[in-house]
Amino acid sequence: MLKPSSVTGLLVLLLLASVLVSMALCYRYVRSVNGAQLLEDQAAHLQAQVNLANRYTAIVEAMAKDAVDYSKRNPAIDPILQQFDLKPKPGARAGGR
Amino acid sequence: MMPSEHSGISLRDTAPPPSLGAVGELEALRRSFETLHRRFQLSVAALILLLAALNVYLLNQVRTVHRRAAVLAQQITEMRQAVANYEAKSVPWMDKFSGQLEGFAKTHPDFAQVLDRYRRPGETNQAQRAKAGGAARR
Repeated sequence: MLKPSSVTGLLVLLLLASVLVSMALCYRYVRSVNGAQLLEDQAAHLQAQVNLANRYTAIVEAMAKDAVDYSKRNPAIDPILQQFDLKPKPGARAGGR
Repeated sequence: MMPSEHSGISLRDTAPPPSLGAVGELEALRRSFETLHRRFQLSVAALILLLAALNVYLLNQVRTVHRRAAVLAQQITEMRQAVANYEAKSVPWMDKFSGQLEGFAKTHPDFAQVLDRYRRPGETNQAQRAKAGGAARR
């Protein structure tokens, strides 16, 4: 059977080991959080760029739609629309690509 | 000549026995030491348990942060691809398209009115797209 003093020594050793593990985990946690924070900043920056790109793409799509609508009144714009595949070229099969 | 040298009895043997009060005090001291020792052991054991719980919590947090970082890294890769794709394909297409529409609008004032809806005051559509492309490149 262990002596009371050896039990105390063992407990103190275990306590020291736990403290060391806690310190290592704290350090790792802080580093991980900092790394994740950097990634979040990067993601937020990229998200802003993607949002801006989506906004301008939507504007150009609306502009193309208006141009197609305009072509119903004035077919002079058709060559431009056909060049950008917004309207089928004359002679092209309907529904064919 | 001392009497103890001849009789073989040491001074320790001849020391007066502790009084009953002193024995009681020693016993009380021993008991309080043991109580204190046991309490110290219990306190250390409680601290070990507390630290073990803290360690488990920290480990979970580290794993959660790592998982979140992996998801973010994946999203960043996808967004970078989307932005690169936008710069490489969409921006030139939009520039060319809006440039042609601007050219057409110069000769057709009725279409210029349609295009005006997409212009900010004092800005051409190409300037707007250049701004978008520049922002995407940053």
